[in-house]
Amino acid sequence: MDILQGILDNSEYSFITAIMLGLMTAISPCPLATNISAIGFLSRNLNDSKRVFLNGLVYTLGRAISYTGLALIIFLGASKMNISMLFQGWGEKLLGPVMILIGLFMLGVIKLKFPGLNGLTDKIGEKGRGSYWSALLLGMVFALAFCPYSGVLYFAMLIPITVASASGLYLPVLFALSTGLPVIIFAWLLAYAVGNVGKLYNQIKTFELWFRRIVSVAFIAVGIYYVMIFFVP
Amino acid sequence: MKKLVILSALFVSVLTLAFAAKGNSGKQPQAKEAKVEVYYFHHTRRCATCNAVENESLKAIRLLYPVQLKSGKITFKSVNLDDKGSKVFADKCKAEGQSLLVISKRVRIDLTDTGFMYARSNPEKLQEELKKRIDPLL
Repeated sequence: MDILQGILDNSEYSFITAIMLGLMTAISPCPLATNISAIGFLSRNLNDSKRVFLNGLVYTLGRAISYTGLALIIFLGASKMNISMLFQGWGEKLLGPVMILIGLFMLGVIKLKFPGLNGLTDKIGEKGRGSYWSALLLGMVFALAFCPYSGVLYFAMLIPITVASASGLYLPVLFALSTGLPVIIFAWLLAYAVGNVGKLYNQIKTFELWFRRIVSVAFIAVGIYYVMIFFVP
Repeated sequence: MKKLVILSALFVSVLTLAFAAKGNSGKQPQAKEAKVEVYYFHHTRRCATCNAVENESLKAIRLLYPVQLKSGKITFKSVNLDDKGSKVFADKCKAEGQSLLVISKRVRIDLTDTGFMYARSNPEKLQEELKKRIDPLL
């Protein structure tokens, strides 16, 4: 962390600042619970490391959409004060219920059939391979769940250099990339390691099924943790 | 004659000194009114750095301005944005979420980034920055 801060201190280029802020967000203990959940979610396809990598990229794209979208709204004139207050105050509070819901979907406990959203349960559930949409949505939701530290890095440090001019609007993309990069790397490593153990026992399908169940339970557990810290006095 | 000159010179200088003193004492209350308010805004859930920003800036102000803090010339207030009563302060200071702000009649200085960057790794630098920004306001 100190090394990153040193680079940040001496950086004259805003693109380096954006990358450093992203890395600091990624490795700070504050959003650790969401990062671990994301790693589990992305590495579900144990025997397909290419798929895990692509999932990671799509997840990062989701983060980039949220970060750039927010920056754009502020750039176009929305009150930074209102936006910042809304997300810093509420982003993390809504995370708990959302994660419990995702966990239940993945376990197949809840089955929803919306017109137009056919087979959402199949897509993120046990049976499906998981569409890229789920990774994209997860990235978007997790990016908006600002924890106290990442909220300040984004709103008080990245946004001012981003909205200073239209040419700064690419900075949230770099920020998103560096918040997503460690997650991609760990997801890939995890899938590779657990996948290989599965292959060793010639039981990759069973491994995958159980791995998904563990990830689902982890989502529910992290969700309950967030609900507890906010809503249980 | 010589005595008269010396006497009148003395008289003039006493008068000048008296007026100068009066001028100074006239400025005194004005300086006393100049108040600097330091605000730290936060939410109920706080991270380690968030706590450090409050603790370190309060420590710095206690160390740098003990007299002014006692006389009320400088104040430090920590406001929880999740409390109902916080809106008055947040509006007054134009707080954008968690922030460390120095407010005086003339200016609003946002030290949030400095606070979060240095509160844990280099509190001396935060102290230095607070001094640099607050001194001209006093």
